[in-house]
Amino acid sequence: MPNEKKLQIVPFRCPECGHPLKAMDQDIIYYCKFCEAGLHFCQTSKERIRRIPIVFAKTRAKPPASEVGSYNPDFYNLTHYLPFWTFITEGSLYERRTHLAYRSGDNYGPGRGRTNLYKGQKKESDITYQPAAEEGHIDKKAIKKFRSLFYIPAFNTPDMVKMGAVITAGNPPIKAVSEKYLFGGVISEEEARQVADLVYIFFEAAKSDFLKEIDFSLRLTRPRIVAMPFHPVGKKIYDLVLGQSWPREIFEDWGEIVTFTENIKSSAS
Amino acid sequence: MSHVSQDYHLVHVGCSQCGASLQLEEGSRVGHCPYCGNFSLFVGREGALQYYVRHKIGSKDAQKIVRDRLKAVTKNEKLGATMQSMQLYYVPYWRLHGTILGWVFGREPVKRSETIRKMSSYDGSGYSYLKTVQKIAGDQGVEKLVRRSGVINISACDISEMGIESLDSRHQAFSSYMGIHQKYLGDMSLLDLSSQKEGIFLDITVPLEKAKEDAEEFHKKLIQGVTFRIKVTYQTFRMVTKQVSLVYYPIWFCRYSVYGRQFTATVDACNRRVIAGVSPPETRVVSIKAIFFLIIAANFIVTPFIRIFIFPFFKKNPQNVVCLTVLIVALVLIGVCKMAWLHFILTTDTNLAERKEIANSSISMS
Repeated sequence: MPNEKKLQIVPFRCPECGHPLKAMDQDIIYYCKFCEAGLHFCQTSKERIRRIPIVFAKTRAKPPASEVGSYNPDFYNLTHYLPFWTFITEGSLYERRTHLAYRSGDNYGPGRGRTNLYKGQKKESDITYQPAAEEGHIDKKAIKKFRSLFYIPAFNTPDMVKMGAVITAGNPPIKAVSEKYLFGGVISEEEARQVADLVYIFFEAAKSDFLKEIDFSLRLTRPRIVAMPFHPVGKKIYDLVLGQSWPREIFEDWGEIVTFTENIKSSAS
Repeated sequence: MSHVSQDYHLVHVGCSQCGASLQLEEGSRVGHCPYCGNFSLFVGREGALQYYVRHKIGSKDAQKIVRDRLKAVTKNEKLGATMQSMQLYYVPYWRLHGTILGWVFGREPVKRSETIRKMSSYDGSGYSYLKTVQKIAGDQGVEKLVRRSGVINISACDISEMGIESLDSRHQAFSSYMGIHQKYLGDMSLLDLSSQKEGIFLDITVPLEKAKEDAEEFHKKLIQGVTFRIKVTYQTFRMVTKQVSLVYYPIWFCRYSVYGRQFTATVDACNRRVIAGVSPPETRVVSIKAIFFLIIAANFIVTPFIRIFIFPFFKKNPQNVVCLTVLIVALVLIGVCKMAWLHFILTTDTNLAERKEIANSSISMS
């Protein structure tokens, strides 16, 4: 017989302040506008909804004036915040084998060479050797080590890896602002941790050679949600922190997020 | 969400505040009640919500379906089958909506277009023409970011005893075999205490982790189809599972007897199909075979008997023609009955006869 005790339909409230919450059907990341708490539905945790640090990023960039016009009274209303998981990431690269061929040009990859995850490491002798925990205490020689803040989209997008790599590469300074609405978070922390591996490989694959094999380990700590402002312009959607434009198709739930937010705003007013 | 995509299903649940019936998409964590305006949170087993597909046919309908199928398989309109028991089972399936992302490194062949001149071989007149052909000109390194999304059903318990194949990483039959094997299931309801009185809900024997592994394995196989040209040197995949649900699918399990022998049939309680079972053999074939055997047997047994015993007797007493006719008819009848009975025993003996699946029979008939 199925375990009926574990099936519950409960009122959706903030576990911190008890205020009713609002979210889209599939969301697992929530924001309580009253106590300003970020919340995460955790499948394995007994608390089910647990608190997670959240920051709303302040707008730093704007779409080109030629596209939005010099003055747009609806600019703020059209801007929506989308969640990203961020982790302080310490990585070790143990092996990187390549094919004996190189790409022509250097226009491939996130940020087009603007970033270097190994910044500040000039000599290999500076690198300390540590056993990789997941390899069962087998000592491995790390050829590179790095520490960086990884961004993983927590919303529904087919370009999750690329978008994560581009924002990570951009490494935008985040200034917190207070906002009221955040919808569309459907990726769990556990899944975001898994995608982080692919984001790292994206950086290595973006280099001008062709990878054959790669061996690395990542240690992700201090998970946090960063809500980034996005603004639609024509067939593109701009992120208002890096100023990067993205095709609208990759924001699968954008239309629903906009409609849902507008409904919530209108019912609140 | 407001839209209903093809892979998702509507689910009926009650509001936690006012009890009003809500329609949600499968996998929804949060429900908004349009009546009282409140939001409800749904929490299920291992993070997976449990649903069940309502059965669309009752016990009598299922019996009728079995009888109709029986008539079709045995080709005998008057076959007397006695229904002994009908039981509604709910079979659990893990249902995983997921996306697999990954990197594939390797080498792939590089093709180059070449224009060559070809001679016409039709008439030997020397007519020639130009043709563009693709030639492999070495290979090159490739780094491919792959992605695949979809829904996969994995059996949460083994029901092979009922003759139903399990769904796993090797076998995902999205065909018309059984309702749960299809992507679209129809309306589902959230499982509650009252719904569990409708039938026997089978226990889960396959853990969710195993189901996730199976789903990942299956996705990887499909991705191999995309990267089949690549000579892979390294690959890594990550499964991003958006939703996991546990769906109970209804089937009728029927036990019946024909000529004192036990048979079973399993009926899909949603799409009205007989999906598995063991049926009696085709009775029309039995009778034709029996007559055939009888004629041969009569040739070998009756003819010498008549020559040795009857003819001398007949010569002595020519008036007993009626006795001779009765004797022959009696022998024929005994032969028919015995051969038919012998054939029936042989074909339904579990050691010798093959188990005939009704579903297979119906496929071959069509």
